[in-house]
Amino acid sequence: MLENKSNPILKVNQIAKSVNSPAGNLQLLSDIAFEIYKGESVAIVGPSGAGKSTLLGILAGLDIPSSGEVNLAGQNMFALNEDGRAQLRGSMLGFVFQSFQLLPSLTALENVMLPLELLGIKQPEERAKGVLDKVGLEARCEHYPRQLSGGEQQRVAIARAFVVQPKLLLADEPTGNLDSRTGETIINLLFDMNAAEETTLILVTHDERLASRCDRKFQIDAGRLTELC
Amino acid sequence: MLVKQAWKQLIREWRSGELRILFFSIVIAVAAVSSVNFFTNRVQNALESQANELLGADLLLNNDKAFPEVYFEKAKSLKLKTVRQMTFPSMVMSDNGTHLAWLKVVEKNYPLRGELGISHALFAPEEKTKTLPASGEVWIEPRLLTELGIHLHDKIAVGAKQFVVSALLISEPGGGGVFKVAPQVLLNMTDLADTKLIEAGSRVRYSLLLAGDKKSINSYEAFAKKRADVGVTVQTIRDARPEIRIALSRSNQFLGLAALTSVLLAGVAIALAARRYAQRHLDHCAILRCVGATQAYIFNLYLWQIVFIGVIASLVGAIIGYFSHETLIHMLGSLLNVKLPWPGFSPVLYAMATGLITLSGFALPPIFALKNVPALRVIKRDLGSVDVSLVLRYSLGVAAMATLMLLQAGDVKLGLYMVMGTLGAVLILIAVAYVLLRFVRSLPVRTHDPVYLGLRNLFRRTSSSIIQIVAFGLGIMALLILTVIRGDLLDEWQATIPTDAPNRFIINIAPEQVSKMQHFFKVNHVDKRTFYPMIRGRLIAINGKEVSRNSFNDHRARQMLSREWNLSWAKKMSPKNTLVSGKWWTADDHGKAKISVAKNVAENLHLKLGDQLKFKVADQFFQARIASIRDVDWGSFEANFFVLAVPGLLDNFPTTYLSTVYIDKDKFELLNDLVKQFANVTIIDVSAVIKQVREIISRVTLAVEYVFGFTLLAGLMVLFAGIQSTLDERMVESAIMKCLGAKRQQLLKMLWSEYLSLGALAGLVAVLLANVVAMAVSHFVLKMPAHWNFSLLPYGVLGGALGVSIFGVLGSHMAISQPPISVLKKINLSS
Repeated sequence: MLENKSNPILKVNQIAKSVNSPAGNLQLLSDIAFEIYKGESVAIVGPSGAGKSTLLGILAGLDIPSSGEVNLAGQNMFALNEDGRAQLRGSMLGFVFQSFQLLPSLTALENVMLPLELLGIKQPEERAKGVLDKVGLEARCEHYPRQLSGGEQQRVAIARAFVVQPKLLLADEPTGNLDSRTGETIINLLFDMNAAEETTLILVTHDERLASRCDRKFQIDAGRLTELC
Repeated sequence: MLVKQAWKQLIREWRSGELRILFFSIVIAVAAVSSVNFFTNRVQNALESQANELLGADLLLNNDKAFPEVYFEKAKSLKLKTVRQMTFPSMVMSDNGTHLAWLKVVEKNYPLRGELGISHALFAPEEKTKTLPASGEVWIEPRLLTELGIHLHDKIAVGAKQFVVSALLISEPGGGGVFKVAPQVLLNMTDLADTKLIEAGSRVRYSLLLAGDKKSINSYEAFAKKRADVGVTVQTIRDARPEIRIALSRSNQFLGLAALTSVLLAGVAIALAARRYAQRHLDHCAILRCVGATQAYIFNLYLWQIVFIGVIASLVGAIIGYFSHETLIHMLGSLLNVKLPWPGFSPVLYAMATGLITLSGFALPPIFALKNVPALRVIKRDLGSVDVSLVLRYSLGVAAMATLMLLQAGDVKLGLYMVMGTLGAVLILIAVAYVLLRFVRSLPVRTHDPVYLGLRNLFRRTSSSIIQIVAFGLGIMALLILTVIRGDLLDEWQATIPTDAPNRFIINIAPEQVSKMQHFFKVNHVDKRTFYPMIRGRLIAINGKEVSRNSFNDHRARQMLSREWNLSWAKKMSPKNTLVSGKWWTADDHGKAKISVAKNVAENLHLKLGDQLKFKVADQFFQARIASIRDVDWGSFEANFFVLAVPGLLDNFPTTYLSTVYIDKDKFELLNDLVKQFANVTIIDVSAVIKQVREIISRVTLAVEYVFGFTLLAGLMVLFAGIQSTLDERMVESAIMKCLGAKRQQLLKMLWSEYLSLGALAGLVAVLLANVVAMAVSHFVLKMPAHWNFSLLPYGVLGGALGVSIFGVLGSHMAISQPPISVLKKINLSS
């Protein structure tokens, strides 16, 4: 699995993030640096408020660091403007969130088709149906998110994340809103899909069991990141 | 793909009910504006398409005396056809009664363009004819049959001659004029002399109708304009029916601007609804950004949705406007007396423009903000907002309203006045609403009381409370004006006329008839009678400088100088007049060149004491200095004059007399005897004029009411949008309060308290506004003393409180009826 070590898919270089607060300058992240290679699965664990979500936001190009660089497949994300980063996300990144973040006004199929449509890919429906089939929701294509259970909504989110065949998949507490049995199923699905699609996975979680299934594990605490062996 | 996506999203949003307030607000605004525009467009089209038929000729000249021969010679040299026409009021009489009629006396070949429409039985279909009544016959308007209690082929007396009513006059080129006071009688010029109606000083309008080829008409027009004879006006087909054009332009401006109040309110509803819509789409945009949508994509996605909503809602509004303009035609069309063709397409275009401009001005700012939603919001929900800079938020709305007002007013100056006035009024209303809120806040209250908690919600959402108070205030004001104040004002206005005020004016009395008529009244016990000498003169110079209508820009001044005035003299000033400046004359001033001028004339023509005025009376002249200026009560139904001269000054000028009399209902048959004895005089039924004016006022107010009906609907939209805009927040608050032990009853009490006070405050604002409007109408239009009407308070405050609270509580019911767990789950899921 650990191949192509010379060419990291994600290279994080001395990331720091601080914000101004009434109490003065607040350092959220300091000296974050690591590399992740194609096909790896990585878990980032840490207590609430440690900076997990801030780091995930920066890795996805959703947020801008105070200093440092993030290279995704050799492209410095922060050398791009907001729209450039959006397009990079559309073509290379997939997301799975704790709160699913499906568009309530779109059906399951349309939610999965959306990133393909934004990329201008022809006949997105066929491809989206194929991925929904893989997550076991072929019969639920025309359902709206409100008509689906939590587990089903998360499957749609996973299908949406994988449909563009992303180089990197970011998952933020993907089982946080699910009961343990459904959570287990979702995790299995996530790892299976990750293996099948040869995607690189970064997972932010509280769940130790989930973290232990990853190839590498990072601990974040008070804005500092350390790799656990 | 983007357009398809926008359309699909729009359909889904519609199903979920998200867009309904936005949609219906536009529908109401567009329906209001387009109903007015369809109406004015059709009248406008009638004027354009039937121009020469409406004129009855290719060119029409009017004069207040007979045309000199040179006019006919010129027409002959240019090979133009001519027809002479005279119009004047006169009494007509049957065995059963008398009635004032508008006589139109015409020569053979009338009309030169278009045809007369007549019928040979009441309600029989109209027949077109090129003929005229034969000698000894008249054609009359159908309503005169009833007024005179006669049938077709009965006889009526016009002046000294008897005529057979041989047909009913249904339509004629040139119509009968707007707001006709008297029904028309058409007779042949060959019969005029026998009627003995025309005497020196009679009020007759002479017209000369001309028709021919375009070149000749143009050169005749140039000839008439070059001669510029005093009193002669030239009407071409470009300005046919000027009275309709003026009435049309005023009604378009007035009704159009009234319709814009609904656009303004709809704009507020749209702004509130769009803000909520945008707020509920923050997550949507963040997810789109997250999966790769660019800012331009998001902006265009929503822009397309706005365009779709705007176009569809405007079309629906235009369709409703089309159907509802029929009601306006029903109310006002018959007053205008023109045949209305189908409307053009321009009202539809204007409707679309109204919808899209309103939507852009009020909905774009929050939608515009959506493209800036950070993608990070998918992780941190507190990020992103639909608030844009204050300047952008308000300036687009103000610009949209200003554009619409300028378009509707059709006059930059008037439009700007409207914009500034509206802005000023809205700012004052906001200030009043703010002060009222502060006042309520200062009231002593118990903090644990749900009533106080409800009130506290008002203060907490100060800006949305102010918007709602102002918007509901405007809606309730419209309702108060239309229901309570209108009736009160009309009643008060009627009450200002004394019961024994003169009810008949008799004009065209020859000097030698005065003593005979005095005697007639004396033997018939008509005690309330006054005779006034009257000569007709035209003001031609002020302080030696010649003046004409073109010397002034002011509309009223121009109007005053376009016609002859009735001049009179008097020893004493009427008790209904008040001396404003100067001195009234004494017996020693007899025959001196002194005059007294009415205040409104002095103001319009910028006259002052000592100014010398020169008048032309027939072919003679006189001049005199202004010795005094009088304030004249024009609404007194007494005879009033612009200019009164010192007795003796005008002795050598052709004079007729005017008499004002009060005749009891049971003595009305006296009028028949009077007309029999004095065939040349004209009796004007003042009470009929009052009735006619009341009828016009009532129809116009009905039309205004109708247009304001849309304002009320728009006000309701604001109410719903206001409720919706705080609904999410209320649901969360209620859920948390329920979790903390609040009972449903307590939550309901809070809601009632909030909306009752909101409605009461809006009602108070409405009462203030309605009073200001009513006082302005009393003072400036009806010329009555203005006063505060406190009786409106219960209607406004209680009505407002009840109306707003019922709708408010019903609309917010969802906030307290939802199980708290489902609301809280939603919050957890999305945070």
